[in-house]
Amino acid sequence: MTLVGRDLVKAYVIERSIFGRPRAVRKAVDDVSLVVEPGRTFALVGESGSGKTTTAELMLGLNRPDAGSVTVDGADLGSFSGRQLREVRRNVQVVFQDPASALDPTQRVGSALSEPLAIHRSGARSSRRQTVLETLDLVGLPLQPRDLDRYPAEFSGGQRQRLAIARALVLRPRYLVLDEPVSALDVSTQARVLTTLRDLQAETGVGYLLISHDLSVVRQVADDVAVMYRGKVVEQGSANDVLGSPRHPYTHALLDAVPRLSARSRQPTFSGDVVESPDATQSSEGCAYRPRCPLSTDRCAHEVPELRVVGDAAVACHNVLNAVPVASPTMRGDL
Amino acid sequence: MTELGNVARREPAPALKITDLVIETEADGVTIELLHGVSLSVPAGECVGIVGESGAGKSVMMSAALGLCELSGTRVTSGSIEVGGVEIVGASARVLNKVRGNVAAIVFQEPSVSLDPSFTIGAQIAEPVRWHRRVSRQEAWDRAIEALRLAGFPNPERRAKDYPHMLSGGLKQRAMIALAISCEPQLLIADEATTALDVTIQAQVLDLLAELRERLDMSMVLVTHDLGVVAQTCSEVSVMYAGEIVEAGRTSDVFAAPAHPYTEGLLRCVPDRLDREAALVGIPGDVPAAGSRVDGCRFAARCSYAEQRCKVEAPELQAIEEGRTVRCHRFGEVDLEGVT
Repeated sequence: MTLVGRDLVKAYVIERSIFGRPRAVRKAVDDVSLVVEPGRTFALVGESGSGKTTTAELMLGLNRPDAGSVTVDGADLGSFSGRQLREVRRNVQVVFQDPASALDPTQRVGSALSEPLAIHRSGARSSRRQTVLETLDLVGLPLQPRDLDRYPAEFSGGQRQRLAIARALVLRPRYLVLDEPVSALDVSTQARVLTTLRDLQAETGVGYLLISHDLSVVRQVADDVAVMYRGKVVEQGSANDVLGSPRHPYTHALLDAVPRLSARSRQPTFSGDVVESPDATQSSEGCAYRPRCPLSTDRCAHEVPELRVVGDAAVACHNVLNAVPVASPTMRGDL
Repeated sequence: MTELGNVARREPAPALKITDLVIETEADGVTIELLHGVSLSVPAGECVGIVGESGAGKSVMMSAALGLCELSGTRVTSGSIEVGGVEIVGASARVLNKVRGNVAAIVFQEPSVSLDPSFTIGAQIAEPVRWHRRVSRQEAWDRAIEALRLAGFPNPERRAKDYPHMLSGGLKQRAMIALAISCEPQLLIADEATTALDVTIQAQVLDLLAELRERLDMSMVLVTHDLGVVAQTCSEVSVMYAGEIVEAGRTSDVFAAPAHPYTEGLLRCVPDRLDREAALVGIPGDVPAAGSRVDGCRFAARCSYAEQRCKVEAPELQAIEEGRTVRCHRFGEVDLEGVT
């Protein structure tokens, strides 16, 4: 019983000739595989443009992969259409980043939260309000029945995110996709929402697919991690392993870039200037990370590194086996 | 107390000096006080961080510092704001226009909102240069390119002709910074300037700001909710809560041994990257709604150390050592945990 994405590929045509022939294609997701197990959290990490959200869309069946498959508890999403797809989606729900735009400002929260139940004809109409109230208890926002007549704007940011989580949970899905669930919230609120998510998982056994660029958040809740860079997974493994002893230079760079409370002096982040956004359409020759990588060699310019197993993790880097000392935060300079 | 952090120096006037600032707004015909007499001093050449949850009044205060109150629908009712020695409160449009962009500049959180989509970024940067410095078009354009170069723009001659939508988020923020530094201001206010960026890009922009501060001898105010950013860039920090400063001092001192329970709470919210099992604590409850009537300490309702006195008597800001102030009755009575 798992939510599995296998060898997912999704490409977009970004430039066409005047006759409509594709001239440039960008692979937003390039050969990504992941497994979300009940009661566990799989995190996708990376900068904007790395393909995290596209991967999430594929996993939700909101978008069809060009290659590869998504299976929900063994059932292939690609083989379904319309009504059947809706049935499957009931078990895979989503929480978006910004609760302010995820909730309709003109819809009372009771109506917003019971809508999924109505759509899926779940339970008797009379019992739906009760289900909503129970779910709100579950997400740590116990409301009185009369509060259900209030509008989203009457709640604070953290409360609104709890409303969004509750709405995703009313159908009791087995999997929840969390797309940057706390990045729009204050730190004080972030901590509480994360704790709630963790408790919720322990209580209901829901499996999370967490999308985040914030490694400190990932560290708190993830069991497994895949680090994405320009559509490809560059490192994947258990959270302890990947974040505790990163092997890929990009994972190192991401961890280095997190502002820390102690240790005032930080290494200058990247030796190479990163300024240009990773939206490049350049050919896929060589390693995509090469322009930013302090370790790159000639080989990196010509040969795309494959994801290879190293210890308990998988890493896509030519230089990782011999060059990167495990668990050392500074690996620039002496190489 | 208004001389905060300024005492030991024999340096020129502070880059920014806010004294007993009260700011109000009106909602549904009711007047709401947003800032309740805030004082803050940014010594020349220093970088001061302002932290606190949303609703603390950080941005309102910084908008006021540039005379931008009308934009946010607020007004200063009392107090004073001096930018480079010039009084901002009640200043004429002529004075304000001389200060803005020239003496002090601000970088906002969302670069895509701040940049005009219908002009090239070069033109947007050249405009204030022409206005403030009365130089020729060509000279203004050259300075715009120089500012873009300083801001770490790749290939500035060519990219100056780009429109904002052609730039990535990180580049747009760099364009905003170039715009802000184009007239070499003495004071740069960064209002959540890196919040919307990826960590890697954020790190670059922070490095860039530090470098520019040194090179152009600027003072800086960094408004942020990220305490890690403050720890790395700011020599001093002011913690704001519900329209008041509750603690201020040297960043290293404040973070190592917070004197206010709210500061301790904020520090505890930052997930420790090394210890997954460390429970995320958070701060219970929410910031009191602006305008709500609070007797006593505004933080008392969320404070685990609060006692009876805290609920009835508002604490004053007291100096506890040189350059260090706190607003708490229980200071000295409770042991607060900092970050080592």
